[in-house]
Amino acid sequence: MTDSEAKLDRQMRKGLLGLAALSALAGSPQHGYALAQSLHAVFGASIPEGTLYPLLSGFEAEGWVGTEWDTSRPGPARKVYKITESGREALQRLGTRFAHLADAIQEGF
Amino acid sequence: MNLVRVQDLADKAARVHARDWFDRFAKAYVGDAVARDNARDQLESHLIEALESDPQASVQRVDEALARLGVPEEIAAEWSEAPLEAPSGGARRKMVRFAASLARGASGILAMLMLAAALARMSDPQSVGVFRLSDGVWLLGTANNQNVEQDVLGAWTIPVALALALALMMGASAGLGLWSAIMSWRKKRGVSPSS
Repeated sequence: MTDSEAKLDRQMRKGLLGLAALSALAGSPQHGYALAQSLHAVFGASIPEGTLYPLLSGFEAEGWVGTEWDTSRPGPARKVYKITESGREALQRLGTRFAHLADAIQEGF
Repeated sequence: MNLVRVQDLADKAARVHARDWFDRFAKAYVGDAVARDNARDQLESHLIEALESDPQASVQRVDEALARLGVPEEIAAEWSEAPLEAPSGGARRKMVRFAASLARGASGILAMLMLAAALARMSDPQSVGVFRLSDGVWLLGTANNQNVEQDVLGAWTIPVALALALALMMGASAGLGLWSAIMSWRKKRGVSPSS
């Protein structure tokens, strides 16, 4: 992979991280670490795990995810993220747009 | 025993590396202290999970986990770009914060006044204090040419003024801590748009 390709790949992954996080949360509520591991399996190490948290914080402010604190274990409380109806609707819209883009890129304009 | 906070890591170098990472994050973070601590807690919780709560984690393992977490300044910058509070709560929060600042300011001013009163009493014990005048009126402050019947606190005037000054200063400081604790507690109760 050339430098330019690697840069484009990194930008693409970073841009899709939010959509992927919403999609993962649509499956089940998760805390940050578990979500990061799920995303790592798809995105690899190209995206720093710490960037997920500010993204989720933005989703929370947007009302796309709700949170609860899990204090069932010792140590810092873990925030568990759960997608809201508004988040599902956003995922639906963004997913459709992404599919159109992916089709156009695959099949040509 | 499980690792609860990174400061409890057994390996000194690992502890120092983790602390440095979080110090850099805190320094680069732009936002209020409660939100910063909240963000820090999430990242620390993430790191501890990455270390499988092992207090004996080696420095290499900690370094690897920190590298996966990212560059602290970059993470802090991303956080600063994300809106941290729901808009509906923002105005009320600002008003409460403003009221708390006013209360802290007033406490500080009163503390300074008490300190000044104590110093004034030292230089002019006959005129500064709490007095009962001959007409039965109580006077808190300076008695100039009034007919003082009793110096109510007497020798206790200076210790009482100093104690009040100290209490007010501590009150202002404790108020700040209490405010932070309340905001932190409210966050940890689970602010959930869905629930």
